[in-house]
Amino acid sequence: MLTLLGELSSSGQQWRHGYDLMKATGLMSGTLYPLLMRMTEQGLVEAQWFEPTQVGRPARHAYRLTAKGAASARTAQLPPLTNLAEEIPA
Amino acid sequence: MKARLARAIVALAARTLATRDADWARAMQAELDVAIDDGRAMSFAAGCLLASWRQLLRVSEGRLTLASHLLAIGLIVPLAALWLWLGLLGYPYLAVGNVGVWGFIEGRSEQIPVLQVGEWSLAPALTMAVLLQSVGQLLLAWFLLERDWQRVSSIARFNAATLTTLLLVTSTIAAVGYGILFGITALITETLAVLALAWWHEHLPHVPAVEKMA
Repeated sequence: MLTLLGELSSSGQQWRHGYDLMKATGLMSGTLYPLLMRMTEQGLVEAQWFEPTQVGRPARHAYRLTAKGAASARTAQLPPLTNLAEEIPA
Repeated sequence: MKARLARAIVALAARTLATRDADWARAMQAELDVAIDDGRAMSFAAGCLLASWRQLLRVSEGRLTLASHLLAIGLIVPLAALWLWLGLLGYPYLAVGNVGVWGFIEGRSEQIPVLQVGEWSLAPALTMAVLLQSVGQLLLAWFLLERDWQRVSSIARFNAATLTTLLLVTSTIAAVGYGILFGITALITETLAVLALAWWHEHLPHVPAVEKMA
């Protein structure tokens, strides 16, 4: 879930298709779709139908983080390693 | 060929998903075209099927579907097969002899007529009643999986009436066997299970009105 949150967070308000998310995160469809379903139910992700860009193809579902999802992504992110290094006394 | 198989698998996944997840089913089917272009149709399709099974257990409607299939495949269809077998065996007017059912199957026993000479004209009607039980059970399983509760109710009443007739006639001619008693026990069990499923379906959240019990 963190991987998906991170990936969706990195694309900001841009809509992402399911297959595109699969390739970007390395998650299989059997993992990705249950995650997307659950995250949509929890209000972390919103989904929208988009008209096909190719003739004869069906409309596609796309996803992006909601404000709540973006906040969760920020909370879930670990502090950068450089900051950690600064906090460790020499 | 692979693309066609992948489409069939994703279609199965879409059918598995509950009504409330219809959008997700369409989403998976739409992405399949991209997966086919990318040469990963089969792994994508298999994943979708896995996702639909996982979702099936997560939502109440999915669990109801699973329970209905378990009842149909685990009890009702075997009962239909049993009644068919009994009908072909000549139940209830031909007993299987003193070596039991397995002995009869192995050919070690001859069938013993139970009816008196004057009652033999009843034999075709008895066989018909037993075979009707088999057909009735199959129809019950079919309508149950379709969630067509009106037809489930009609066929359940028909099955009960046929079995009652069978019980009354065999009692009159003193040919009541364990088959009838077993049939009655099974009928009560399946009726209670079907009633429970109908109640469950009636209380599902977000079920379209057309699917509800009439």
